[in-house]
Amino acid sequence: MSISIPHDRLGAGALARDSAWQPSDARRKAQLALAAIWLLDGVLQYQPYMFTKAFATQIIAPTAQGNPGVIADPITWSARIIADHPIGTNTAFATIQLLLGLAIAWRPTVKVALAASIGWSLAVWWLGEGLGGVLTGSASPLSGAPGAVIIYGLIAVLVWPVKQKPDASPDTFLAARPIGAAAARGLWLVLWGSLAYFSLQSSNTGSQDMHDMISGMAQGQPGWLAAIDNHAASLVAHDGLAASIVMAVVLAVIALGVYLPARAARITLVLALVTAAVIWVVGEAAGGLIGGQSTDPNSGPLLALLVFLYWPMSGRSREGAAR
Amino acid sequence: MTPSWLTDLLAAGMLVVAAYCAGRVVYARLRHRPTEHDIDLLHVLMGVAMAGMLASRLSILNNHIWEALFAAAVVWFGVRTILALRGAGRTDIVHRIPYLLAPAAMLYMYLAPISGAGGSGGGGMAGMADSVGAASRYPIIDLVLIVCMVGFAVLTTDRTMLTSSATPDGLEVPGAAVAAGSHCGPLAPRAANCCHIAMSVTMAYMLIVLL
Repeated sequence: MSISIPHDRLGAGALARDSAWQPSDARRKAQLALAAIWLLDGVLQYQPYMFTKAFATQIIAPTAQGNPGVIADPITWSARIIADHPIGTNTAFATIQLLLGLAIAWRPTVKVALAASIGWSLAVWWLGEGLGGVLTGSASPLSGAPGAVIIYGLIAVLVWPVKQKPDASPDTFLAARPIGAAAARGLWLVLWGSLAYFSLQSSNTGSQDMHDMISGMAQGQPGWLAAIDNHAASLVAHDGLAASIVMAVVLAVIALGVYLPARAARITLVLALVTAAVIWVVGEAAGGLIGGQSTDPNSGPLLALLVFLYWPMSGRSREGAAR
Repeated sequence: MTPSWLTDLLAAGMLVVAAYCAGRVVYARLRHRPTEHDIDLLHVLMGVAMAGMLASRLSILNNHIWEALFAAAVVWFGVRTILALRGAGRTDIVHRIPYLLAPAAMLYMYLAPISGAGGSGGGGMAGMADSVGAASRYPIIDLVLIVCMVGFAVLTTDRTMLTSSATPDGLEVPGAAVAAGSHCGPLAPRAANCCHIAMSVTMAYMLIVLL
């Protein structure tokens, strides 16, 4: 008896599906988005430039500048090790990130991988990003403060898989499930509030500071992206202080938005999404992905993913999220 | 410059995937095991072609032949996708799209104009380790394809389960009962997924190097 199966009937992932496999709910989709970003990071880390000594001397070592000695010394130490062994260390970094992405995406290992990603994020935030420059007085939301990689760790906490207790009140947003709504809102407030604070630091409020930062990002980018950045830079030329104040107000409104009623909160979250897009395109030049020296897509996509996690859920989506 | 050991390793991996998928086709036919022959054959083609792109000494066919083969694959999987759009549910289309985009991405890599010192005149990326300074002229297309490849790898990993009982999810599969009774379920679905993941990640890497 023939058991040949028409391809189209065998399709739909049927070959791959297990009877225990469940379609992804909203939390799982967020986990998969995080997995995809880690996987992208891993692949970016395999770029030819990362295997050279320049990765240590031009990307890692400069992050020590301006930091207190207790923070800067380990950065300098690790940069020296990476410079001495660029191929071995970079192979390890890239492989770890690749495995983190795949392990978060693979359901049996999701918890272990999320826990490992939190540890890795903290290590890279310190030794690879110099704590995002938050202690140097030069951090700016436009340049990715407080450091993209710490947001990976934050998202890993917020998408931690937990079963909702039957008697528990339904979550108001996805990020509330693992740590509770109050703590989740507090983290949002700290993150976006810190961005508002950074934008008012003296290093960002000079008349040409914002202009110089944006136009600097345009260099080496493709024509269309450079044109957007240069145009944005010209808009804030000689108006750095005013632009910084406007940005700080917008960021503060976003920070407080999660405490508002659902309808108003949604408006501020849309504002957060737009702000993340502006930061990513104008301030971060699409994460600098084009050019061969980017280690990650920077903070813009991560801020957008956070918006998804804080989006107030309707009754139906709460039921779906509670599965 | 891309470390040659890395491109050699990836090329070897792609040849292993190609050989495994060729073996699947033969084994499935000999043992009457259900499998998706067109996808296995696509993986064979892609594995051999990517190995040749990664290490030029492994290039066994003229680029124009590869272009013709992948153009044919695009047409084949395009038709399958359209048929799926008409006949089946959303899941079937989601399953089809990666296999439509994969040969399209291969075709793009062969045809994409390369600028810079290392642009190999014959087209595309033959011998990545040798192509110093090569860069795509359409980085935005590269970026979109990279995001797609990374996304496919993640989604396929998500659907790859620990246990081996491969039960179709919500689909009636003709012959499934017979298959279950005679221990002839779909041929090694997890291994097939692993091949797809390896292909997607390697292709994302190759596209990123082009950026």
